Amino acid sequence: MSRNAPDPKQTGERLRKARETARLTQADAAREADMARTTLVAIEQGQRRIRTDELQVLARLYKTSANALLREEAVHVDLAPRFRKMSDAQSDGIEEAIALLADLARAEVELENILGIKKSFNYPPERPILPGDVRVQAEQDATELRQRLGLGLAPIRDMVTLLEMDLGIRVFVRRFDGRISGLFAYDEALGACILLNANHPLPRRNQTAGHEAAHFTGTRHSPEVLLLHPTINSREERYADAFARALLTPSRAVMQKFQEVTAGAAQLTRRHVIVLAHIFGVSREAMVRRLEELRLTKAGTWEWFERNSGITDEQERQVLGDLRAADAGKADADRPTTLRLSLLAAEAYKRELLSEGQLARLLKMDRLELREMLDGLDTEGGEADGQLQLR
Amino acid sequence: MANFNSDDTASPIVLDTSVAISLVASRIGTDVLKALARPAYMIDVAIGELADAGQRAADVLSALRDWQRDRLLTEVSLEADALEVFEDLVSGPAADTLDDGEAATIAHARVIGAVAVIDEGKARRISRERHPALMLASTIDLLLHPATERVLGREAIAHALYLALKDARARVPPEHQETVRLMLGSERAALCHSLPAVIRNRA
Repeated sequence: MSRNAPDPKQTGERLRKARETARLTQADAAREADMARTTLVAIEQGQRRIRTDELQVLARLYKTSANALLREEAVHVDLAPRFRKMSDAQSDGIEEAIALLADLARAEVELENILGIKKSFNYPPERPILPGDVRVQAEQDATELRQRLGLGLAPIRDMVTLLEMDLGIRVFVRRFDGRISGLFAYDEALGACILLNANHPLPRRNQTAGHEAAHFTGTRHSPEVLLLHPTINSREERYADAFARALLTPSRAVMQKFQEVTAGAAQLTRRHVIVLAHIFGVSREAMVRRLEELRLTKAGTWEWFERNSGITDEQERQVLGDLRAADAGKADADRPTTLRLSLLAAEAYKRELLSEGQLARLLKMDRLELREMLDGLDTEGGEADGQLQLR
Repeated sequence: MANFNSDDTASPIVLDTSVAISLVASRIGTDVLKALARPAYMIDVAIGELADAGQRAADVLSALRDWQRDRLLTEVSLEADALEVFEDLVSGPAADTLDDGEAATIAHARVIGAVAVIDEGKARRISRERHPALMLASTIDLLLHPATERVLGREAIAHALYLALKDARARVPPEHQETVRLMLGSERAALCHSLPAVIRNRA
């Protein structure tokens, strides 16, 4: 037995989770591994110590490694089972997005643990959705969150930074199936996690982030998938939509800016919509619908624009010019992994806490991609590192 | 610590995945293995890492299959007496463990008395600490070995080094960094980002 002989109960539990992540039943896994099902059950329950050759076979079958199963700091959380309870979480695109969120969150937490980083959480208390009008509750809860964060009526131009820095939520912006806008999940080991789709424009992502912030506030322990064209109109979803509108476009701030922007005008023009949407960091459609909701313009205004050639990106370019916000999220999503994960990985590599093989597997990158990333961050100490010691 | 050197003309070698990638990128892997004229092994888990890992890994895998076909490389599984060494290297705190391919390479080399060929810094450190009698080598050691130089000549080796460093970002152990820079010349060295900036920017 090795000097680091792992605890059979913990190993069994990790093997069970790895098998479930691989979506294999005990019977299937036992058959594929050429062992009796009763043996696998005993191993998973920690009643029988797994032999190293058996561990190698199961690791290969579960598309992981013996080290990933036995490493003390490894985070073994499978988000998929809790999403499976949702009726619309069965499609391939959604399963891939859930796996992506789980992989990113697990890697981030493990790297933090290895590097001894204590992430600070600043979660406000949950506000369960009560009987009664959900829109009223959503407005109140969004206003309360704004107050807690000291935002006043100021527009939120960068929802990702707000959620990450001020609340401690793990937010990942990556490219995945365009039919999905975002995901929210909460887990004791990972904390609150949000995945946003980098294939969607920044204003759309801000709205999705606002929507997921509502699930974090009102239904924290239920995972959520937001589709680009939602099919469910439950109270929870209506609450989340109203919360996002109130958070991103607070009524008083919208009224005030509307007055400033349209001063002296007799009609609401495309230019007004473009400027207001830019101020609040939301899409043009979301802006007009909010104006309709607040009765600052007639109901059906958005449909009128749509019938009359819409409001185009070219018109937005003409109006905003250089003021159009750069989309750093898309650039980050085009890297092999997130900037934060790559910095954590580079530090772990530089300090020889994780090897190239361990990092490649943890980040699900091929070795060459990983080497390019590490060299790009100049882990050997280069010009970008400079000479200044932090401590 | 035992070092791979010109006196060693017969010990078998066990290649890690990191080395296979760099050796393939050097374009002279076949000639190097022929020149070294000794048994070369890779463990199935180290080769398995290259499966389903993208096109570049598939190209490396294809080259390994050619070497196997030409009997320059043999794929092996860990034998029973190597499993304990393997388990010791994969279980425990992250900082004290290695991924399966790296651990299996060390375990097999340890048990059959071969040279473990690994470029990875952490794996080399752990090997030195826990298995001080195990002889270690790197991709650079294979390329700079006198037997390789006799067959291929210094200029061909310098070009191969350049390709391994530029295309596969081959890791260069500290003791070889200055030699490699001199062989490449400052112009080529400046383009090799796996060399520390302080070395590659030295005039």
